[in-house]
Amino acid sequence: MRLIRDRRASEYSEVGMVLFLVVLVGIGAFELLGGNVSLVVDEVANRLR
Amino acid sequence: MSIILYIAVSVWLLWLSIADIRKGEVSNWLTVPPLLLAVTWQTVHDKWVVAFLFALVMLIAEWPSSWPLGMAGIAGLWRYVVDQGLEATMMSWMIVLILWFLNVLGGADVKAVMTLMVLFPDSRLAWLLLLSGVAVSFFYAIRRHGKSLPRVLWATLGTIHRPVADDASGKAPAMPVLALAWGAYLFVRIL
Repeated sequence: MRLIRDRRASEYSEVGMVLFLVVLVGIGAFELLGGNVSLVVDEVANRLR
Repeated sequence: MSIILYIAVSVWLLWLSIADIRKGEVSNWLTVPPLLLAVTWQTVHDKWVVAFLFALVMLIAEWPSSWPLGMAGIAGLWRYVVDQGLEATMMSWMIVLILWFLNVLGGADVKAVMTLMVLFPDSRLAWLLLLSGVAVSFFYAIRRHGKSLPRVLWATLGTIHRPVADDASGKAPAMPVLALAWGAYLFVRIL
């Protein structure tokens, strides 16, 4: 069990920071656009009916 | 009960932070039993899907090539994850697992985040962990690189898909990130 045995408790700050920011931007974009994207999909689906 | 739990988690995170700052690693006795206890606790308290998610995370961690199977399992459980209010738990588990694969986070950090997020399946805590991660990483990075930080981050962006080498410079304690997020979360809850 690699994860269970792993005792390391450090982060690599530069990579961590870039990844955290990427995740933050991704989640933020999803939160902002998620509703709009679903509205567009619904509208397209309605027009196809 | 919740006050006792808050105090216990605070003491636990403080202990983890001190161990991390001193040695850069944390004994498995401090991370594995709390994680197993938290998973068991939620499983027997009507959140049984946690046990399946935990098994899938362990499967992917142990055999990375099984990730399509693991992701399919998680997708199949999505309905129950939503029903049992565990979306934040599942998302945060996935994110820390990816960070562990990329060697950005150590195993002790991953287990501590998993424990916190299974005990408190609250999206506010997930956001605070993320923001605290950015803040602490920024603090470490600016201390090390100063004005050249934007250039270093830009260069890092190009290699982001590759796991970090074990001997890479820029290692810093991660447990204080959790302690900071937990402190902010307690503040938010009390307010």
